[in-house]
Amino acid sequence: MKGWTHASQGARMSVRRRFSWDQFSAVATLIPSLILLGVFVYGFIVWTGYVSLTNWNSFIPNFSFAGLQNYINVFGTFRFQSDLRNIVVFTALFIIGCLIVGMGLALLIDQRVRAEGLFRSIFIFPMAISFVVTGVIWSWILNPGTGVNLVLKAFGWKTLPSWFLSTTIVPNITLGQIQVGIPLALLAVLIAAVWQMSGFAMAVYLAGLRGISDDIKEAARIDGAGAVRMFWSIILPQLKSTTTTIVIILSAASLKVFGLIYAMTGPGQEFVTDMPSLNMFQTTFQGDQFAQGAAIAIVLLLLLAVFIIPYLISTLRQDSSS
Amino acid sequence: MLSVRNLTKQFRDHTAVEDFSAEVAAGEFIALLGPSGSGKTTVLRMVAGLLQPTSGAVYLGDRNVTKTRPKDRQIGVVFQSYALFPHLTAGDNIAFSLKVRRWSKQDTARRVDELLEITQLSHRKDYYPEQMSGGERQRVALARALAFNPPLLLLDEPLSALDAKVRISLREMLKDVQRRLHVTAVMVTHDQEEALSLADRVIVMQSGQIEQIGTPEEVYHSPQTAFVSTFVGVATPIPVTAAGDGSHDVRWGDYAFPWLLTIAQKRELADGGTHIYIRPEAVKLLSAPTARHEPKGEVLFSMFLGNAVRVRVRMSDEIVLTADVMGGKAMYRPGQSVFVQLRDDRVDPKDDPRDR
Repeated sequence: MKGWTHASQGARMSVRRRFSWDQFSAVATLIPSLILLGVFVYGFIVWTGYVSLTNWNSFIPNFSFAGLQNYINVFGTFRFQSDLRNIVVFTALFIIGCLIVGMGLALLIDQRVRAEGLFRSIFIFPMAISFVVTGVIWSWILNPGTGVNLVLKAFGWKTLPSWFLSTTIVPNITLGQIQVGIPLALLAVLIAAVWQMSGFAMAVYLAGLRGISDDIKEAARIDGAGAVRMFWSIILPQLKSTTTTIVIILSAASLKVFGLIYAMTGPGQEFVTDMPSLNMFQTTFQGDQFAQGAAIAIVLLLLLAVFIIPYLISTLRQDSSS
Repeated sequence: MLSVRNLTKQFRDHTAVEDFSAEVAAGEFIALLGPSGSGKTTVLRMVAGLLQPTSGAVYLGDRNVTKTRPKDRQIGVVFQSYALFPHLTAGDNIAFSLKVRRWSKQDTARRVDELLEITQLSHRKDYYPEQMSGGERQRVALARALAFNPPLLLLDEPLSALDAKVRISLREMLKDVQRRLHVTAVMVTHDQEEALSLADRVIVMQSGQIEQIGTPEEVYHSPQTAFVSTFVGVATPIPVTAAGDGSHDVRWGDYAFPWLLTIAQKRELADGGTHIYIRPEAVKLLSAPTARHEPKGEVLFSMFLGNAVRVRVRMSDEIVLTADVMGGKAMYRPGQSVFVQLRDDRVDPKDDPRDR
């Protein structure tokens, strides 16, 4: 009883104390990064949002209020409509591709192969390369005249794919000003993107697979599950949160994709490989349409938010429950 | 029902199980008892088909299943870690093996409800494993293992992850369920109390080999090796010689007393002397010797166990006896002198098959 009283008095004393070096140093170390983040991230987001509502569409700043006119203009262009189609197609196929290839590699490596560490490094290494370098390499490999097509030709292929120079869109449904479908040129870009990022999916999946106890797999075997049933009914459901994490991180990477496209194809003919980020960059810094560029940036931010906010909510919920 | 013949398992340079043979009758409850590393779990995993033996064979009935896949052996397994599927409810966990085996929806639902009732878990059907207590999880694991009516149930330390109270109540449920469903059970455990209380027969193992196979009574009262006598319960070895008066008595120093010996011990006794193992309940403490000249000892310490007082008595530099004074209230003082009387209150000699 006596000890308890002492302890609570001690606690009250420390609360009452005005100044604590501990707290001061903690706050002091955080201040510089808080200021930098505040100005260069959140400040500029607010600034971009503000610019997108102005008439600053020439070299000379003009902050007169334009309402949503920039957004209306942007959404009305053939280029931006193509961008939206491309980003949706690219993100969906990029994520699916990385998940399938990553899972496949992780399952193979999880078989306790020899030199496991070597294979893991080989598969994850492309991630360390800059997207620009990946873009250049794959633009050489998939160059219709000089790349892998020479090999295909040697094997006797008659109709050689034109890879990222293709302007074909499948299935080609007219909607508004654009053709909706999968631009075949994007598939070439996707090969490069999946090559680069599936190693990441593999690494995360491998960690997830190692987290499933052998007992559970053995219990499933005893219960009569074969390899296929085991994967779909036991392993995959337990990797649900792993999959969510991969999807969130890859979707953020995908929506922001710039360097790969810029180095590999650019906007492409009829904007078949254009992306909002590329459009934003060229509109703003090459076309001096600052307000319109800002509007594209804000749309891109909202697209990202669609993926990030549910993720943040679920992580916060997990944090508070544990 | 289950026949294990000359099973050996080698891991690189070390032999986990060596020449293990045992026969299990239908409906029997067998405990594989041994310390960790004695190979008991390895035997269980080989029977389940999760591990291939280096040599030897496993028969289920007349069928050699040594090379058969686990799912085709029709065996239920309960794991120490429960090994429930975390993304499935209790009901779906139990139903899993039935779905794999393509039971009809109605049959599956009926069987799941039946098992939930047997394991008293009906109110937990839609709970996920993480929402249940350890005891409940292990009951789900038991129900899941029994779902497809396997004739043989294997249990790998099923109770050791639970706290003492739950362990005892679950032990009773396990025995009850096993008897009611007439399923043959083989349980691995390192807990001798669990083995003695649950099993019809106990197989004591050490270093990958069988030390003794017998009923709980036989293993406890007539241990055939020094290891069994000390691993199963508490026992103190004392050296004895023949009493030399033509009776069944043995002699420890000046003290001659009746003691039922095994055939092996009798042979050793004839050769000069042997050891007998004294259990705490066989020792009676006296304050003065009788005409039989009970040996004198010195109390080291005593501790109150609830239903008994356990007293450690030093007889000589080498021999410290443990005595349980049942219902005893009197605590013995350290340093106090006592005289020990040894009583053979084990099985009735007439019931001991080895004496016939």
